[in-house]
Amino acid sequence: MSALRLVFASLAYHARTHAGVVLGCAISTAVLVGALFVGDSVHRSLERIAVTRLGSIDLALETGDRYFRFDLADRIGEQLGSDATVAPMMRVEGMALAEREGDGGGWNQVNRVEVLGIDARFFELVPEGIAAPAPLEPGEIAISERLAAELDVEPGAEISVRLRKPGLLSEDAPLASRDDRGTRRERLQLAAIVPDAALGRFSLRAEQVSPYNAFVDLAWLQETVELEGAANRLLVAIEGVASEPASTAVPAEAQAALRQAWRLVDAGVVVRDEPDLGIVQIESPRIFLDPAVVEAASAVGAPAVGTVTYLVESIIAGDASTPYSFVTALGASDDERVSLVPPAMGDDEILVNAWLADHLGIAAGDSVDVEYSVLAAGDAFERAERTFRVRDVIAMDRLTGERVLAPEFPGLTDVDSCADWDIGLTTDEEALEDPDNEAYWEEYRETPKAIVTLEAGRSMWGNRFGDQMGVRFARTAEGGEDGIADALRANLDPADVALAWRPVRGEALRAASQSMDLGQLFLGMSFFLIGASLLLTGMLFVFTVEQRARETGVLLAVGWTAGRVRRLLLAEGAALAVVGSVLGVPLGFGFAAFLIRRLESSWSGAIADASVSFHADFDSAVIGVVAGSAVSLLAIAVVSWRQAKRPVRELVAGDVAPRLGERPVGARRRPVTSLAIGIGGLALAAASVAWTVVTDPPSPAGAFFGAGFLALVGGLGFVRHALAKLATGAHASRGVGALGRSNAGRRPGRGLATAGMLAAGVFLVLSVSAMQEDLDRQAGVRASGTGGFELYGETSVAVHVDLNSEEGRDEFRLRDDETLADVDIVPVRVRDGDDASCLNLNLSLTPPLLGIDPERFAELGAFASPEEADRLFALLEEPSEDGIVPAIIGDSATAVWKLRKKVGRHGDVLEYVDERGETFGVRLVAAIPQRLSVLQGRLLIAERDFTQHFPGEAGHRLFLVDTPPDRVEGVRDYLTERLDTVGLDLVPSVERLEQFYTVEATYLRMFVVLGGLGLLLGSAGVGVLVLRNVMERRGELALLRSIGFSKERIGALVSAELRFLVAAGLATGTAAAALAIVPTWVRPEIQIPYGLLAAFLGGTAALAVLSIRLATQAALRGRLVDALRSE
Amino acid sequence: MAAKDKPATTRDTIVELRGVTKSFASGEGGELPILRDVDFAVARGESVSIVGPSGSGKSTLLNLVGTLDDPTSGTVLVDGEDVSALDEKQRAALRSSVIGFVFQSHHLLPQCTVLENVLVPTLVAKERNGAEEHARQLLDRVGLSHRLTHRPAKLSGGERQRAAVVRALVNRPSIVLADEPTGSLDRESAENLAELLSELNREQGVALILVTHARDLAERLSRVVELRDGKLVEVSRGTEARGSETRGPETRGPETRATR
Repeated sequence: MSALRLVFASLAYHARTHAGVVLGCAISTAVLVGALFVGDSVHRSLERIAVTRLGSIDLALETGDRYFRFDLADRIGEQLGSDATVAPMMRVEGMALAEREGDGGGWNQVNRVEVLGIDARFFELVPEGIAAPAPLEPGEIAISERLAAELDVEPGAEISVRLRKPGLLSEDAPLASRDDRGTRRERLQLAAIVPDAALGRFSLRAEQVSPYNAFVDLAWLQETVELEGAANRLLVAIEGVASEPASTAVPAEAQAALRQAWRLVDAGVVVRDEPDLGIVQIESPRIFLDPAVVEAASAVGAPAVGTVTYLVESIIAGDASTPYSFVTALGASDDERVSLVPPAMGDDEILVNAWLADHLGIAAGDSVDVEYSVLAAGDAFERAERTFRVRDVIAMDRLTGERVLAPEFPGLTDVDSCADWDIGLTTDEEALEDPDNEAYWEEYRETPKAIVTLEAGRSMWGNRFGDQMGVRFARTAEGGEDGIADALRANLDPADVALAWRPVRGEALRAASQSMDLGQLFLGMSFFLIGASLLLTGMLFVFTVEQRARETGVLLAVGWTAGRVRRLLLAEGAALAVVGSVLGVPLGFGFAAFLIRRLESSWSGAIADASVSFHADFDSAVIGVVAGSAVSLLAIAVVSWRQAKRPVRELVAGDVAPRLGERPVGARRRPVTSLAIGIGGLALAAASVAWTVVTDPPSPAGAFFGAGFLALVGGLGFVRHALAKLATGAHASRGVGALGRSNAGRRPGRGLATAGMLAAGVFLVLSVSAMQEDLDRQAGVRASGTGGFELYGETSVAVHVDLNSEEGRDEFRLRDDETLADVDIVPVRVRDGDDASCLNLNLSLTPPLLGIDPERFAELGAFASPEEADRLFALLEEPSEDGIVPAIIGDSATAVWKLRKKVGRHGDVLEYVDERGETFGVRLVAAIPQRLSVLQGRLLIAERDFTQHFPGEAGHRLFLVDTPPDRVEGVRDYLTERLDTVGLDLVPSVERLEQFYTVEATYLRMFVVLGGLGLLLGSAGVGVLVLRNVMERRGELALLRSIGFSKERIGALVSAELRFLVAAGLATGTAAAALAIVPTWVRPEIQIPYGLLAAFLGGTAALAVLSIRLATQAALRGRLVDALRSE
Repeated sequence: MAAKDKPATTRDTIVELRGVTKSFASGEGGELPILRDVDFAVARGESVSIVGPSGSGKSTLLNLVGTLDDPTSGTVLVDGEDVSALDEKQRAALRSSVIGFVFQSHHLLPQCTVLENVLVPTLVAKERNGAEEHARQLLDRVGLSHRLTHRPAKLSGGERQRAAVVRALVNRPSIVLADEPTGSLDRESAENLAELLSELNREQGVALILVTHARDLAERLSRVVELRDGKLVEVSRGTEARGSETRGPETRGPETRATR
């Protein structure tokens, strides 16, 4: 005989009564395990999506608006050997159109299409075992499944692709041509629909939403957009890397290969050798040189001279002037071949050419004014003027070299006549046609009319694109182009010029593994369900233990210590908990399958329609079993501890139920405490409500929820007090019901637990059900998630004009002044990133950046109250230390749930890589004070900072539109139609909010369903309570039977007690919930589904009553009088 | 408790109550006295029966001796130990080594066999060597050797009570406290059990305090005391009285008290 044997004997003997405990543990574990499995399933599904979208790709090199030579792929491929596949790609954003079949005709247009130029190597990246599509011929297109579905096309169909020709020089840059860009529409034959598994959903962004991909032949695309030989992406698969999928380190061999293979031309750097001039000049087709290139050039070793050339509006001397003239700024040098600026020349001095001196009638010592336009914030050009003193007049033949070395401005230096110039500036047509200037252009072309020092030039014309256009070296006998090029290349790290690998596979898997934890979400939402099952477990176990009170008493009497008895009970409980938890695992599979089925159907909003397939990790099962056992055991331990605390004599006598009319233990003291809790809870709730009303906080919901909770505690205090009163009163004279109710007070703890569980469940479910929002009420309200903008739009192609200006409206033929009266369009710049809104489940490492005009947002008072908006948007203009850019998170929910970062003056800093490959920090200084906003998931930074770091992100792609409320639809249709060439998607702001709200609304629905399940279980708990009460008092009830009570009467007696508890619980929970949802009564945007709530309450009450009835019938079955005999 | 700290008592006394009063809270908020200033002693090996009407405090007295309850005032000494001074663990140890209980109902664990039931107290005994052998011998002595592997449900009422008696004796206690042990038995079984208890008292040298309503059973023991109005009154010395030299203090003169 051993204690263990005793445990096993007890387990076997009480197996029937233990079955309920095991079931309770199994339910707790099932909920835990199920929730964890859902988490596993989402993680694994996201990983699967990540792997699907990348195929075999391990690394990517992405340069955005900067283009390298596509043969960099060959060069790197040679370095990496046969183990690697390197594929070049050109990505351009565009739109796809397909003619609609059927009666109506017309076109299906899909905006924001990724037009991807690929060659045969791309489909070599399709994972083994999956059939890769055939390589594309020029004129052919292959599209992703999602795009095919949207366009409703089959292979063989004709598809039009509209894309905007990208340029090497940003369209926002000064002197950049604008007119020749435009959008092009090309017709292509649909060769194939690329399955998702065969890289159809290729994307480098950590998002679960499948992109609209359109694959075209690389050479065809290069030719179409006039960027022959260019690419802006390299995709690499290296055998062996995939074996370490989670690594976010770039393999050393890839780094080495890039260092070895890159050329200056890949970084947009050209070394021009002019032997005739004795000059080697470093320049760029992007006109401006990156600061890193300038720095590296100055470290080449040979004396270097920087240059910058600008087209000034006019050069004026007294009454004479000349329009539109090139002026070059040069660093000083003694070597005239390199620079005509002598070392002694001051920054206020100017060298003029003989033509100009003659034209203006000026000589050395005279002064001239130079008028020019500079790029200001918001892409506007501002006129500026500077006065110089003529240092010298240069003969025209000494300027031959400058004409040769002048930068090539597309649209400017390649046209025949000044009148044809396209320089992105508002030009004076009359001045452009100036005959003298035209004659000069005929004869001297871009020969500068004047030369200033480099410092003067940089201070006048430096801008976010750079402040130097060339670096010159004197050509030595031994060092031609190669010497300078080699030295420059040696001084440059490819990463400095945006040529850097991204370990995309590692990043993708990291983003998936650290994605939103739906497991935790479900655990959180199921807490009531878990709580109810634990309560049930505890109640059933204590039921068993109480039935064995004599056994406990005997053990204590024969010398067992209370601790030892407890340990014995705990050992039994532990065995039950473990068995129950293990049995809970298969139930957990079922629960998870149920949840996933819901996620795939009516709850799909919670995961933004992502496809989730079932996956269960062994670890999760183990964690679930351990946690389930632990919490069940805890519940068991609490009741066992109480049991062994009873006096031995009571236990031996089996005296565990108070007698009728007996005052419960501590009854003399507790009513006072209960009353104090009741009064205190209600007083605090009232104080909380009063405080909320007086202070009028912007979001009173939290305060009212708190008040509701306090009211719940207070209400339960009163219930406890009532139970104590019932226990001590004489009620038998008032009928069976009163006698039954008095019984409720005999076990005040048990009664309170029942009422409390129901009250808490009702409180939570009712208050959450009432948290429904009517987003329409936010339309047009500035201090709301819409920002007061009626419409929200995004374009596929950036818009470079101000759509409020006449020029802008002309460009898009927006001539209907009546429709557009009082319409204001606020443009926002966009730098793409990983969407951090609730629609993306993946971890967002770098959310998209929006460049806004803080002053304009503050003036409008958008997204916040006027004072708050002033303060909020001013944060973006505060000077930052260490070049860290201040950013505002697009809404408060993203800040809290998605990014999980510290926000504030000392908020967390996110790391971004700018267009030039430089890393910079973005500090989260604030969040828009709206739980939901149309800007959710993005970071707002000042346009100034945006253009500083992303000068190539020309134009605006996001538009917030203010319209008179009665013309919303008309404005939407008109703008959408007129801006179809840039692929404008314009939706009512409320509709966009609703997209985000769908997630939240689904969460609420999920919570209500899971909470409801918990309440169902709670109702079952009430049934168990009935059984316990009846079993405990069988003798007593038998006595009543013997004195003439019918079974029905006794049933009524028993159920009266429970009905009182159910009523008390429901009433308390309802009252507390009513208080919690007070703000929803006064906030018009919230609609309360009263009908649903009433049905819910009624259903809960009915279930509880049914449970009581069934349990009573079961308990009273059999010969009650036998119990009397045993008494 | 160290020997030198033990309250003075005679070496032959196993149980002694000195001026013990026990009250319970009444329903009206007052105190209801059950035992009033009771002095009582039981010598080692003595058998004493306590009689009295229902509610007179017989079981209360037994609970006090069995360390299951505390007196409102006065001292309870068991094997020389002042029970009030012991913590729960020490009381449990005392019950394990010195006291054996027989209840009105057998209170055998339904999940265990007869032998296992008997061995339950040995699980917490200081000395477990030979416990099973001893249990078997005792069960043999009471005629249950053929029932060792039977569960309580398979036994007759008398057999169950005999098993309960053996359980009380298995740890070789100095005293057995029996609370209406024959209360749930038929007359014949009750007779047999009474005979058995008397014999065991003699054979094992274990003191016996027996609470009973049955006069005839009471008179089998060496001494009979009655509880009347909360006071103990010696009624008689039973037919099988032995060791008259171990009379209880309530029958001794003041000189006995003076020795305390």
